[in-house]
Amino acid sequence: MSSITFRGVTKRYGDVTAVSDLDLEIADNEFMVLLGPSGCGKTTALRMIAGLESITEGELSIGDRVVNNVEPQNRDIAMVFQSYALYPHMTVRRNIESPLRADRSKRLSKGDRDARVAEAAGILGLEDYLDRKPAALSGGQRQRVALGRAIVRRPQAFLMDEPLSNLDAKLRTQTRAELVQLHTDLATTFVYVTHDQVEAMTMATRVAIMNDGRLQQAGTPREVYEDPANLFVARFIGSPPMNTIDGQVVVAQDGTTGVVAGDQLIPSTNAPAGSAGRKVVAGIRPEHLVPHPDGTITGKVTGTEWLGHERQLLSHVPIGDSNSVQVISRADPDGDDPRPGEQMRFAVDPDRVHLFDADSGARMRRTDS
Amino acid sequence: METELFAASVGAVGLGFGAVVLAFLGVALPVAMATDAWDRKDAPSERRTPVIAIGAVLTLVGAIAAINEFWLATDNRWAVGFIASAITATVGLAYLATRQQLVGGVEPSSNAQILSRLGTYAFLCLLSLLILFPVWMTFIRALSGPRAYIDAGQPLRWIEPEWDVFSRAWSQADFSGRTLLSVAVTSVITVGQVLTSVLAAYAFAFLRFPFKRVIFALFMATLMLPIEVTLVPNILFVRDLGWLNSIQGLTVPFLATALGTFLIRQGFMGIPRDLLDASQLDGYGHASFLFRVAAPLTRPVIASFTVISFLGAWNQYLWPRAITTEGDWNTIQIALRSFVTSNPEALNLGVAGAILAAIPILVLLLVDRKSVV
Amino acid sequence: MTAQLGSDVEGRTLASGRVKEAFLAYGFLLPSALVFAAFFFYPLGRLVWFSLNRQDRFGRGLTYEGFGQWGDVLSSTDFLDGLKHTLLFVLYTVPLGLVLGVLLAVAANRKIRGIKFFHTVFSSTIATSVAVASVVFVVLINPKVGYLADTWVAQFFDLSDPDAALRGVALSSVWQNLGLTFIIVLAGLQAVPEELMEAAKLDGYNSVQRFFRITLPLISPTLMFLVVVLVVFGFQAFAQVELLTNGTPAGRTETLVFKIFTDSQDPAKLGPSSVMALGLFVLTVVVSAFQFIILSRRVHYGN
Repeated sequence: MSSITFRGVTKRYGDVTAVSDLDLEIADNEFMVLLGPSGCGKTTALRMIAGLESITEGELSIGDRVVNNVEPQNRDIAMVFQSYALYPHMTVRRNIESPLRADRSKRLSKGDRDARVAEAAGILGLEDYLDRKPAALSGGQRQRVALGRAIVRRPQAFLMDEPLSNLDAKLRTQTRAELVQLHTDLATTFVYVTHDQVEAMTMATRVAIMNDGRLQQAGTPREVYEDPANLFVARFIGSPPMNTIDGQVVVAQDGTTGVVAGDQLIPSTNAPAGSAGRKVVAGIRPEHLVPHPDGTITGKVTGTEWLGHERQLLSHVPIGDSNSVQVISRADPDGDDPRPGEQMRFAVDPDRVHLFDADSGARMRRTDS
Repeated sequence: METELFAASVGAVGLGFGAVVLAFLGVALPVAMATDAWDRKDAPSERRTPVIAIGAVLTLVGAIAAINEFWLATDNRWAVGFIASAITATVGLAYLATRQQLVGGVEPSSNAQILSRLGTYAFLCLLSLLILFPVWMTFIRALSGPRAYIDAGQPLRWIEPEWDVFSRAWSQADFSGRTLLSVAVTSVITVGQVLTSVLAAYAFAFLRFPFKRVIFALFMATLMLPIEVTLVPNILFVRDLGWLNSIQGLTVPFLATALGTFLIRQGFMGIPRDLLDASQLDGYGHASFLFRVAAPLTRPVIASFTVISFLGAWNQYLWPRAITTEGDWNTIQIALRSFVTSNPEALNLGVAGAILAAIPILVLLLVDRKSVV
Repeated sequence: MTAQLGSDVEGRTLASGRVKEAFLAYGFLLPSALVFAAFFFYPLGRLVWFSLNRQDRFGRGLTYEGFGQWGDVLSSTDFLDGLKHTLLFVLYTVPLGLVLGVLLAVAANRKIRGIKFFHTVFSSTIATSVAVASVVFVVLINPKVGYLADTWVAQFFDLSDPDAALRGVALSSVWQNLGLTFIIVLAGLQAVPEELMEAAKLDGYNSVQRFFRITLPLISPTLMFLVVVLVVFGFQAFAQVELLTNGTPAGRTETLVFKIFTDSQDPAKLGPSSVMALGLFVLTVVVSAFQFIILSRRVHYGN
């Protein structure tokens, strides 16, 4: 069993709280991505799993044993560091072999060790580099060596701290796919830290979004995209980001609900009963804001970006009292660009308009009381 | 009877050592606690000040306890000292071992870890004692009357302390004169070395001129020629110049050093060439660039070298010994020799002199901890 | 036409600029160069000259002896004894000093509260001069008045015992060098990236293994540098000898520099002492060259 569970875990450094009351269960064999901006606590959480940071409050379990006080080397966890942390004075072979040579009761024979090193090298394509030293390798190769060193241990879980951030863009995309494949091949739990939501969305089986030391939401990529728990998650996930418009809930005579912002009317089926008049933030993803002659949202196009496979429109939507908000919408790439300054009407699917409480940022649902 | 004596002497030695150790811990651990809080400049001041204050008070108590153990040990109040030292040591240790660490440190979270942390501190204290033991012995030998001390069987504490031994050492061997001379010689050498090294380093780092490589190699080659090797010809040369027993003789051969040139050149090479080009376009010459840009930017390196240079010059022995034949021209280090060899019976004076000789450097280092590394 | 003129003018100003720069450079180098020429290279030359000559004890009558004098002096018991004592001194001070320095640095390389205090204590001996350190050790190991004089420790460092005296002198140097050794090794240790140690922890190495397999190889350049520094200090041993034993007993603590100094008082020894000084010089050069070669080859570099 190699699930990892945080129960009420808090980490404080003096007056600074890095992680606050974290409750998270990482299932066996998951690819869990800890996602969030710098300083949100994701790396601290990762290091707590490894045992490189102590836990101030709460319980951390690996499998069913509580590991708060277990030394890092006894947790059966492998970690790939952001800067790879390869031993500069050892060859690639020795680097990969190194966890197997540490003095532990289950020391393997030389033959076994060589076999494992060869296996790891084979998976990662490092056979030709085994006798080189790290200084003679490129960034991508060094990263594979770091991975090899982790794989060769056959640990219960792999921890990765922003492993792609030191690679150039093209290599990054390629390595992303390889890591996902590796996860499938190894059938082991992966815990992966990044600030890049594209990496998270494409690689994870589940994503845990953190901000300011707190867990904002944990769910599958689809869940966090379509069903964000709060405004932070909604804004963080998705590129281009979700449009947000401040307004108030209105209930029409016929019972339909929506948000009114200045002269704009945004229909939404997600308003809870009895919330008329409440201050909310309406969230609409760019792909749900559709140009339509009968649309209830009017704006003025200020710019377009034509990307080949799609077009993005930048529009100014006035929401009363000289306030206006910029929205991004997706449009058909075929045809001509709209002229700047052109008036545009947008329609939305009421089901797709998320409502967030203006004070707490929490998502409001129709079924709320 | 013999076994009793043996046991008594072991007990005495053990007690003596125990007393020293406890006294040391009683002062050292609170000091460590206070200096740690003092250094934590980023922590909130409401928390720092009480800790520093408590640490300071405990240090004082620990020091008084230590004095009590040794000075007043003639009556039975030494037990009070013991207990006081034990208390201050324990508080200091408890604070150090269990408080939460800053980022990067690991705080002990289980009892086993706290125990191991305590073991670490114990080991560090043991090592400190080994280093400071000679210093302690020096101190008590300076204070104790030589006859009285030997007669008392050379204990680990001072006997009949003569606190005026320092002023006696100061006046007896014209120590003030020696100090003045050492200060003068050291200052001249330090200033000279820094100036010549900065200039030479600038030339090597920023200027283009023929034979640069050859000249640099020659400069570095002087590192192979310490004064120990060139002693005799230099003595003859200085004698021919009439510079025996003179400031010139003591300073001029050391006004330049390749070490300084090397270190400061390294520092200069860290300055991007663009800065020099921009400065020249603005119409400034090399001298201005040196004073306005290059030197300020490499201030840490120059400061480090100044300390190294000062240390080396102050502690010099062989050359001053070789070219000064009159007592008036002895530097502090040479004066120590006459102390030690002329009257071994009055060892306390010589040792007091050594302590006086070391104080300026100690003060310099305590004040300026960073520049040394 | 204009272009040619222009470039010609430029060429001339550029050239004169270069000349000015060169003059400025030589000006900046002059102070150091004068000192080096007068007190380093000139004496070296005279040393070679003296080594080939002999004079009487009144400092007169410089007679040419030639390279035979080199052979005579370098094979004389006087020189060989001095060499032996110097090398023994180095042998006593360097390995012990290195091990102790590493021990201190490893113990103090932790991020725990109050560690700065211990840093200060461990580096404190750097404030002592050789003279002060010698006085401190007179207090401890002088056969007549030293604290350890009658203890079992004294047998090993007895300054009145011909066999042990040099060890006693070496002990004072070991203690004195602790501060410097500690500072240098600590700097080397702190240059090892923290992540490397964390990776090693995760790999399963215990602290002993971490030290020998990872830390030690990575600080070997620093240690190499330190060895050379300590060896050169050892070659220069003089003050500690004069203050602790003055060469006694039976000249068994006379290092090369001590002999050179003693000989400087006697004009008749000008030739022989110059040969010894040259011997010392060659020794220093050899050790430094050794360092240079080793440093370029065997030592492990970081990324």
